Amino acid sequence: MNEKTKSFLFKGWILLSTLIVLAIVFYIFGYILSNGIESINMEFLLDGPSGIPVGSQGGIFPAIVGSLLLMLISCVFASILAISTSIYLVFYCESERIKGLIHLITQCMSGVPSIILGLFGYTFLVLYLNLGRSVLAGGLTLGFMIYPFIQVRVEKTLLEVDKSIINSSYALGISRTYTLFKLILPICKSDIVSAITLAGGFAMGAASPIILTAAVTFAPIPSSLSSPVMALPFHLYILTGEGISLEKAYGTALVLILLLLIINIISTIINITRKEHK
Amino acid sequence: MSILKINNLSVSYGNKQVIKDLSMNIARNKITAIIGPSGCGKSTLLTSLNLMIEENGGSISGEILFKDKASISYEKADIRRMIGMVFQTPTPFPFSIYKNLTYAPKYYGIKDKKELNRIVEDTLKEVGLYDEIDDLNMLATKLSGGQQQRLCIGRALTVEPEILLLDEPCSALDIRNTENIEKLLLDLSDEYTIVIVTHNLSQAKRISDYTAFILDGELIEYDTTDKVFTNPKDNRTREYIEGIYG
Repeated sequence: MNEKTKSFLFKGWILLSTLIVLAIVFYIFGYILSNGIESINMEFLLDGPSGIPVGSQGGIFPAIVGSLLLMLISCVFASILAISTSIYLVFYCESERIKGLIHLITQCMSGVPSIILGLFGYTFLVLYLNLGRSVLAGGLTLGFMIYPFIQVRVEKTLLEVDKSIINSSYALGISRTYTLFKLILPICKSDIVSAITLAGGFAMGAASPIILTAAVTFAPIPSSLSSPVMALPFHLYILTGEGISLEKAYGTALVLILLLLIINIISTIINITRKEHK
Repeated sequence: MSILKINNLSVSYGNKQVIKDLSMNIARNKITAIIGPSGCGKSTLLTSLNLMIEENGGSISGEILFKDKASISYEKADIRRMIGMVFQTPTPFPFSIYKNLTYAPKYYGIKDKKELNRIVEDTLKEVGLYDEIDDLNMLATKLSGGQQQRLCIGRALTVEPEILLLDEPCSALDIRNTENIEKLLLDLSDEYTIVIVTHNLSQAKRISDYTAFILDGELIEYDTTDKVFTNPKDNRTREYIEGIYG
């Protein structure tokens, strides 16, 4: 086989792979759109579920709110931990051994299956800490899940800041802490926000960590952090798993996908505006 | 009169000794040039003077007296405020020009908006950028290379240092910008003590009052620029000036 045919075949192969993936993505989205669009109306978006069994009628408003709340709690919890860890690793930790250990732990955490995290959340948060099946317990469990995701990205962003820029701040006699808050974090701000948003989308779509810790078949909008909630992925699972209403399930799936799409678009926009600034 | 006295200074990175038993005095309100081939320890010497060497993992022995007091007996932050530094490639913060110049004054507790505006205006005038800039809110990274370097010099001046260290400040710049910076340094030397590392011999000749020649971490010759360039005592200095070393 000569070089020309090889390169032709290679190009054909990568083009084909791209097309197959794109086709699958569009097919999934198109399929859900065509099946789900009919159930989407104001009542579906703004009412609670009703009918017997619950969910066969009515809407998914509490689940939308529940999912957004879970995302918010998990993002706040995970990003505080992840940003602090990354700052420690990049600017304060001097022992290579501790750095290696923390990286190892983070990697292990990202490898834990999410249903196991759910089980951990159930035994530790729900039972041991007595938080009960609640939006707080679910949010924290999701936080454990997305923590490695955020930590790795934030650390990478911090490491990318030009060392000579940091040194010129130190050369002005300025403290490490001031440099961190007034120079380094502002430089990394949009990258960090974009990592958190992406992680939020990841948390919102996950069902297994919340099955045991937060989600219930029916609940009103939570009145406090200790109330159980409805969540879109869990609602979807119940609607199909129990054969309640396939039509509503497609509607729910469409809403979930649209929300995730919006989150991803926001994250992309943040990234683009950052690039333009540079 | 000397503002800095360096006595038997040795600097090493791990096992590697970069500066060997070096002693010299830096005269107040003069320009002192440090010349020598690449890797001879010029930049290391410079970063030892404001203790930035510690950020790069080097260790110092010997004595550096700043205004007749050992520099290690000052707070590290105070030494760095009084001995400012400008790096080889321009390092503007990716913020507006205004924020670049108010960054350090705000840290040192100046909150008053009028005072901050005055500092920005004075500094821009001092480094000759005042007439070249229309919009203070423009990103500093959008300035040209030479303007960025002058902004960095200005930023170092906002904390009112007494000494300004410059590490090959013109090596990334073209001739016209180099000329601008040299003129600026000459103007500034009325008020500040300037120590400049340069590999550009004609630059050292043009602007400096004193020149130190360093080879392999040792101070070979240190005298008025005129003497070093016209009548060097050491053969190695003569060879370097005549272009024998790279």
